[in-house]
Amino acid sequence: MDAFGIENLRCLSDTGLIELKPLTILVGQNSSGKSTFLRALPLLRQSVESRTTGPMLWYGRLVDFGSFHEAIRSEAEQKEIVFKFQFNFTKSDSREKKIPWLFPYFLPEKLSISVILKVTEDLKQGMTRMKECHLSFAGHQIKMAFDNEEKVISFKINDLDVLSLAENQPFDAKFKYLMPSIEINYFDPETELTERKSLAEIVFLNYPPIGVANLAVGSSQAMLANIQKNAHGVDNTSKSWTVNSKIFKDFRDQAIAYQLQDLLRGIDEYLAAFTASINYIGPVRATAERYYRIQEFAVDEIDSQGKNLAMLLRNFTTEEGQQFAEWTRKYFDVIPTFQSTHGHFAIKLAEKEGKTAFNLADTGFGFSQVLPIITELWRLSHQASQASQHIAHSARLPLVFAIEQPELHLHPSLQAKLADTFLATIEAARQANIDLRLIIETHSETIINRLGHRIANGDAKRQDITVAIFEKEEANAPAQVTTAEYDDEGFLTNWPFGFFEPDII
Amino acid sequence: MLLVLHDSLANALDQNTVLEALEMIALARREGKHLVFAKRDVLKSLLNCSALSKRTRQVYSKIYAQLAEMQVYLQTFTRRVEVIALDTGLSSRLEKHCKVISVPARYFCDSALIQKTVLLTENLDDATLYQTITQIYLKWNKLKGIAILFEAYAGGGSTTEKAYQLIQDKQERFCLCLLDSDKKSPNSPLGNTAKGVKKIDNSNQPLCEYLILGVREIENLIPTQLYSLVSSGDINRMPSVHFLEQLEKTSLAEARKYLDIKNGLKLNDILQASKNSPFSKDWINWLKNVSALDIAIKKTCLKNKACLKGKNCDCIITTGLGDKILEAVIKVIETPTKDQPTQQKIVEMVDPLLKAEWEPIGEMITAWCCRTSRISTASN
Repeated sequence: MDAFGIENLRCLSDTGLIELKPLTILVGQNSSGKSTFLRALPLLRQSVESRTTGPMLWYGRLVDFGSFHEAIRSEAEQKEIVFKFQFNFTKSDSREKKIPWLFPYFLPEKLSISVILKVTEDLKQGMTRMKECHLSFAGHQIKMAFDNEEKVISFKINDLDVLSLAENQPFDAKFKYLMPSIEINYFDPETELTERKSLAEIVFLNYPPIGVANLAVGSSQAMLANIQKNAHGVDNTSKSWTVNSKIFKDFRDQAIAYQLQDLLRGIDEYLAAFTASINYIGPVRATAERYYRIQEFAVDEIDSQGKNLAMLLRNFTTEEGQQFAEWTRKYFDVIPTFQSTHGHFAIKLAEKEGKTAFNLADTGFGFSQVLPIITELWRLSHQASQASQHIAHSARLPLVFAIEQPELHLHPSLQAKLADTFLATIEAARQANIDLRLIIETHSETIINRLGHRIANGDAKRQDITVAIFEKEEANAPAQVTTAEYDDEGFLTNWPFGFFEPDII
Repeated sequence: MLLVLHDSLANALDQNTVLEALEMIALARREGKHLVFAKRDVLKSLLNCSALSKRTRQVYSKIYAQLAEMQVYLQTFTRRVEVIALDTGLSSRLEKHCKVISVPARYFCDSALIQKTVLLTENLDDATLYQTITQIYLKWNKLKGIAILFEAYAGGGSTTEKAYQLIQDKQERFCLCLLDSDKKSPNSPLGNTAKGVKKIDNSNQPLCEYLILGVREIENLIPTQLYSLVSSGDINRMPSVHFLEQLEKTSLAEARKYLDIKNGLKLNDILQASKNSPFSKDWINWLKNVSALDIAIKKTCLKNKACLKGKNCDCIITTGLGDKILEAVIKVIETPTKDQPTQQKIVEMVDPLLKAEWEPIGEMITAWCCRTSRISTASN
């Protein structure tokens, strides 16, 4: 996943596509929509991982958006909430079986795929349903719209009206995760029998030339070159075709239609795997306890409130514990130790090796609040949970860690250390060949400036970091999103003047 | 003013002059009188310079902490001061959109230069209106976290010229002088005050600068709606307000910039002027299109021989709003009540024509008089 965007969710009108870099910082005033943007990611995860009746689980174990009615921006003209994704692939990703279910029929070229999903509310049943699905790649546009009963009511591939291929035959959309799978209840007038047919079969009925089935999909230029080189069931007349020839366009769109089902399935699997790799920690984190009851749960990741921190730490092997202690010592000047006694588990922190360790409950509130974050940062960059690493790492999918206000209760000097830890995390992940993307929502001016200092000092790459700025002209106005980048000297470009400054008195 | 510490200062921290200047500049920033920017390496040198006081280093440490956000300063302001170590005298140069004023450190050893910028205007009411214009400019351009701070000096007539000369000669204060153009029409010559200041301005002394309004007088910068609000119920003023309202609806709106808002305009004034004068030519040209206006003046008036002789013409193009109109407007601006317009309301009153005049004024005052919050964390 390379970019993500939202329309009409809470105060967000249209964020545009925001590039997800190794470190994406979200800043803005209160109620400017940055948390909404960040929480849309765990929203997707809880929607995909749960069995749901619609495409979205607005209220789940990670985040609570209420319902469609509560989630949609009240002033939205179109009663639809839009999720936008963009991701890039090269053919080698598929060929090397890193993404085994993706695009076997694509030409060997880099492909940038954009997906737009529009969900709306079925007013009768009060349920969320998929309204439209748009897909674009290599200059092609595919648009599908669905009714309340998941019938396809419009379906275009570039200029081709797909529904016209089987007029008066119902096209059904089935949703495994987010993308539709298309099936047609086809009534054959000759046999007078109805049978379920795939889109490819319908294309084949309409457009018999064998070449359509075998034509790999890519840009119009690449597809045309392929036809002219390999004939694909077309006679020599194809030599005179251009990308603007109607006959070529028809042939091209039918070929895309033929492959579309595989493409939709591939993207659906990709999105599901991507959402499964989203980790999230919210702004309200559990207070440290003096002793934790030992439970025999296997803990893979820190939960959204850090409640299971103690159990995750307890599950560390000796070696992992040592590595983790070294990590926290290096970046936060504290060494955690763990003590198990009579069914209880205690977390202690010492300032230095050999110094007295204090129970986490007796240390400053800041440490207990930040410990779940630095633990998860270490885990994702060094260990990564078995489940998400298996899917994401093997498929070169990014692992996403979305954090709300990590700086809570931290003195600015520790906020600066936290910024350093973010940079160390993405570097450690890179070394481990893990595509880690941190998405941080923050009010910390210290973090923003620290990153600039680090870039200027040569400790970080400016290309790794982007800052998305959420602003509202007025309280009731929709939020506008712009992005600022750091230059080589660590200065922010396109940065709003006096962004962190209060009104001057 | 934005004070940029040049790289040369970092290599001259063994010079008392440079150290004294850096102490003064830090004080100016601490008190929120001016903005200060320097490259990372320069600031690092200052932070490590034990010859600087602890308080001064705290100020530079605070600037260093926020440095990533501050590049925007360089991109925003159209004037900045570059403080250099070598005493090569005052100079200035243009860098893209910005006039960079190069000032040797020794100029800052006297606390006079770190005081508020002097805003020299014709009277104190002018300064108040300019302040409002600049505050609105800051809003338009989303320059949050910036305010303006100046010491208003009232000149007026020849006093303005004398005051400007005095400040310029002393070379110890930043000074921006705002002047009415007193141009009666687009091609008319400047009035005496503007002409006088322009003549004595020394381009080799860039601590001072003047700006001549693109309109005739400051009264031409005030939105008609504000005049309407101030003049409501005043039978002497309202006809003039109605004239302005009608004028703005026509293609002659440009004429509003040169109209004598205080005294009004009689046809006789135009006809009495030399036929070849720009004032006469410009206004006659405008008045030929007067049919577009539903005003007291009749086009037939221009064909009336008696009028053309220029002796007995009593055709009034518009009456004036009087000498006290600026004072009345300022009173409204300065004492907002529930019945008076807020600054947001005034923003809505500014039409594109006026906005085009307000923008350069706001931009110039912001550049010369910008300030930000005090730094409270830097103690002795």
